[in-house]
Amino acid sequence: MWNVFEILFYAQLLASLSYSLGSLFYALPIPVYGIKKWGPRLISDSIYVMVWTTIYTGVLGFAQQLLSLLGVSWGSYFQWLYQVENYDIIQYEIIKALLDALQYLGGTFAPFMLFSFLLAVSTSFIEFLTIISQMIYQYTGIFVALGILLMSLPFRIGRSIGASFIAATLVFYVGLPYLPTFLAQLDLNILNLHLPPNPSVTFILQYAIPEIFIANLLMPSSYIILLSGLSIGLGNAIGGYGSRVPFMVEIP
Amino acid sequence: MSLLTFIQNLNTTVTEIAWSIFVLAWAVGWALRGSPIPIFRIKRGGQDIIEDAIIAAFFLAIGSTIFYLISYIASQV
Repeated sequence: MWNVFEILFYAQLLASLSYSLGSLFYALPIPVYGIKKWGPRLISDSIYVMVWTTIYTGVLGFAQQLLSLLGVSWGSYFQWLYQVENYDIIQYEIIKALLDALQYLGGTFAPFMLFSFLLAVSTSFIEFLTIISQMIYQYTGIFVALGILLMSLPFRIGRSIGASFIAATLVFYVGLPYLPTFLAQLDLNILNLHLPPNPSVTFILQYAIPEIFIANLLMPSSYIILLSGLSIGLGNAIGGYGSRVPFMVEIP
Repeated sequence: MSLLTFIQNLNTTVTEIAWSIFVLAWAVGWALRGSPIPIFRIKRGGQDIIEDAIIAAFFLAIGSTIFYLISYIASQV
């Protein structure tokens, strides 16, 4: 895997390149606004990227501070995910057994088939969530550095994609471990749902399965959509039009 | 040639070109400003070019110093 600081070094080099390109455009004796405007723009972009490479570790530390401020951690989040997955598989087996029994008894098992299908879908969704979470957890630093590298390309080639890289990584790094707490606050934490030792068919049909479906599939996916909206907003704030350098570079 | 040396060479080349363009802009600007053409807009354009060239030279001097310093320190660490 790439070294994070090597990526940042390349970003710095590209920033210096875009700086000299910017001063080249500034000095061009061609009084055409479309060309001249790239001068101050490239210079401020490169300074912006330099600021990002400088505060890189600070940003990661800030994300960790936010995590501990929210009172959640990645370890407990992964533990929760594995527990939920385990629970789902057990429920799936129970429903499956019921389905087999009903087949012999000759009752209506169409709704059970539908719900076992839904359970299988939510199990794979939780697995997908686990994979995504592991990816984000392991490669947070790399993703942020890659975002800075993309932002440092001259002429704003990879500016918006780099900014959304940074924003999505940061938002999901802070937001994903909060998912169990979010569900618990909505009283939808699946691990708090206890089946009676001999569950009746109506209990499973009317209570257990809808609850599992909502808590496993509906609410986590809407939470992820919420996080995506937040990351789009943060991405616009990081890489929107005009680089937000705290001081004016353009001298009129 | 590695990517690192490629970018560094490109950077050096661009800086050299920028310096020569500064000299060019300086000359063109003064030529326009001092030209015996009694049209104010042309003279004004010449002055604008000179001002831009001076600012660009300032940025070049400051920037190349700082970036060279940074890359020097980064290569030493």
